[in-house]
Amino acid sequence: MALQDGLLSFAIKETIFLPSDRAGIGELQELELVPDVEVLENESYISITGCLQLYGKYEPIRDTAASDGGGTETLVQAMTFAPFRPEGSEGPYYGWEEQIGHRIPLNITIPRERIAEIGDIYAIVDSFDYKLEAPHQLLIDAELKIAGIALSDQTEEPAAETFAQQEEEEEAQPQEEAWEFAQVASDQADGVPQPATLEEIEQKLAQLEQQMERQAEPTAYEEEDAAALYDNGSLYDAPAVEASAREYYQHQAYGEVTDSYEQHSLRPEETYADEPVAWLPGDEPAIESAGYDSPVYGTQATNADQGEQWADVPAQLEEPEEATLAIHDYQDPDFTPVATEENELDAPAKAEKVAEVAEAAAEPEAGEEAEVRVAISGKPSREESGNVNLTSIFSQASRAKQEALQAQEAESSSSSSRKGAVASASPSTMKAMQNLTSFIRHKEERSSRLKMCIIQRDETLELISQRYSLPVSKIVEVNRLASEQLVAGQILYIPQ
Amino acid sequence: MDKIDFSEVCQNYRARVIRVTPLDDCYLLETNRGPKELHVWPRVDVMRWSFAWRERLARQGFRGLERFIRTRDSKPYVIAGNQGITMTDHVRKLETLQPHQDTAYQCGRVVAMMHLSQQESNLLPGVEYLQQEQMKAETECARAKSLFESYRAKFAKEKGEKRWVGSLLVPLIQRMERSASMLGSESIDPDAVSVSHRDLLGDNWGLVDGKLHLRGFFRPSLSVQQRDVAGYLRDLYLASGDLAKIDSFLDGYEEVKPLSYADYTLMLAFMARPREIWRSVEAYVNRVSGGKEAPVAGIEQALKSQQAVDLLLRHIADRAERPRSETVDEPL
Repeated sequence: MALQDGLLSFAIKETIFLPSDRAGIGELQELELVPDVEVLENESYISITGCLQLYGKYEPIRDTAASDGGGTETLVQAMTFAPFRPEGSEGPYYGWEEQIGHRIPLNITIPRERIAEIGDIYAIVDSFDYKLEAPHQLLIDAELKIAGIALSDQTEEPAAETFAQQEEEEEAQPQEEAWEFAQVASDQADGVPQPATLEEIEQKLAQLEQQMERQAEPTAYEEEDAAALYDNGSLYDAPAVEASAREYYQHQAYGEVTDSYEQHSLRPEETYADEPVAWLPGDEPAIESAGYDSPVYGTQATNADQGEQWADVPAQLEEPEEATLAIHDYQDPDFTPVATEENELDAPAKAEKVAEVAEAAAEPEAGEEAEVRVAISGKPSREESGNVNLTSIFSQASRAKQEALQAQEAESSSSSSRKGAVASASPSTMKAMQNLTSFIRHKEERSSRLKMCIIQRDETLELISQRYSLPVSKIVEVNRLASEQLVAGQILYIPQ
Repeated sequence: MDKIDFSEVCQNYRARVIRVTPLDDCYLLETNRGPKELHVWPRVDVMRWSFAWRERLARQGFRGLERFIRTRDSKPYVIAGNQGITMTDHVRKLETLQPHQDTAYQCGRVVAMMHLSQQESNLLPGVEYLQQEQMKAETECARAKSLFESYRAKFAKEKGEKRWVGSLLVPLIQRMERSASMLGSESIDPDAVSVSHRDLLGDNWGLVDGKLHLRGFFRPSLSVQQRDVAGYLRDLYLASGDLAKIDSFLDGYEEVKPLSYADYTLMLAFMARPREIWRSVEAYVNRVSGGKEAPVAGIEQALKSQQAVDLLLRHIADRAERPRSETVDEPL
């Protein structure tokens, strides 16, 4: 599931020239880049428009005339001095501070058919940096990430297959049956009695919805995470994604489901890395195994309603770069690693052949690709770890075990129909939930603020904490400060 | 100061003193020949020089000024010990001069005539005064820098007022340095620099029966001619805020005595000194360094006037550059 994170990354490089009548930048005191985007949904495309708002405060440079020579070549030049105070300002002015305000326009258009899934679209600014080229010239270097969109051509292939498969199954089986299976699976996992009343069903729905949110839109957690942790998040992710990917493919390749699931359940829970494993196998391996066993898998037949967004997946794979991305002339569209496509391309092959050799070959590839993705998709999984409690880990693990048993049974008996139904039921429920959640949260958009503060000479952590009304410990934690000693010019990230 | 026997002095002037009233810079004598002012000159050479330019100015046709009354021996002054004593008429009906544009023009003319008269005399070499000014400017500049360093070392961590005042020292020093360097500008010919009184103030002007009257200049403090013009124009602009009057004054001046580029350079060098700000900042810094609280109102006031002065500086600089650019544009 972590592989399905949709994160569009754009490098933003903007040079800002202050008007000549403005005082030049002497010392930057504060700089903030806030995304202010709006998501417009059309029939044919999704448009992310708006701007990045740059706010800043700086202490103006004083000796402008001296620095530009001023000279005594002509008397007019000689009579040009650094002002004692900003032009036009009246009255006392003790802390002369100038402000920067700048808008970086943004317009990203993505054809709708390229989008596998739209979650809560939000924009975050990551790795924000600046360079003062001249007193009137400021170079902004940031990375804008649009999260909540899963591009079908890069991440969703397995899911797409699954849904296609699931629809096949649904054609074969009545909807109630699928629901029933879903509930059975959930019961096994959660260890609660079969829901009999409407409230119980609703409760179950709510639970599933929560689970769905976590799985389908793991990036949604990134907002807080990015603000709090900026770049460091990736440190946590590498093992997380890698682990999940490895287990995932091991299961596919060798069918040693029991072993791998036991590994999951036995895995110590103190590391963030292991956390996604706790819930990932609960759904995905089941889906995958269903896919392999399904006789109609390779046909890619589409259901009129649910399958249409997956219908042109192969076409997208052929020209994955074509998604329209227009961002202020000079932003390079920087998709999440293209390498994953290979993985997706492999998936149908594997599915069709159901050959262990081919899958075994795909395994290391998958591992590699997971590593490529790490930098981008890592944060959510780390964040999710915060949300997982012991109960959920055990319940997920127990569910995983039971499903593994099911899988074993299915394999031993070679009767794929039941297990296939189980597997397909789960995604269909998930999809239903997805629709539900997207209905509720459809237009919701969020933005993450990354505020940074440039430490001035003699500023202390106490001062900063007072200024932003934050506890010192929070700043220390977020910035991973080894000591409370600050150095002039140091950049502190201020959580919002 | 030696005790002056007024009766003895007055005997030289054939006047009988009825009453003596000490004023700011002179003694007002009520005599049988009318009210007189008795001025004591600590420097006899300056007195002689003053006498010379007054007479020359009168000969040029401007009689609205205080001329030294001659003694019984036809001498314009009395030497008593190391000091010189002069007697002038005391003008009772002196009206304050309202600075209008036309009077500014007249003033400019008179000041130019006065300068011409002064530079005809070789009694006091101008170059010495210019060197004095340069040295003084450099000393002040160095003092400001050391003050800035010590202030920064002490109050760099401060916020608010103290930090603000510290930040003022940078542009302040820049101006002082610029002023000092302009005083030493190569374009200035030291031999062409002449002496005048250091301060030409609004008080030096008055109207007697509707006619312009120049008074004062009994103090021995001297400097180069451009300094008194700079000071006067500065005061005039701060009082009136009217650049047209400045232009009128300079027009009048240049009608009598053309101003060279070097003259303008010197004039601006004197005018560019942020005297008020420096004084107020220095006072503030000294108080604060002594651990006392100090108000910044004075600095605020000085900053306001400096903003106006900056406009004047640029205006005069433009005026100084104009003839140069015109000559450049002239067709061959």
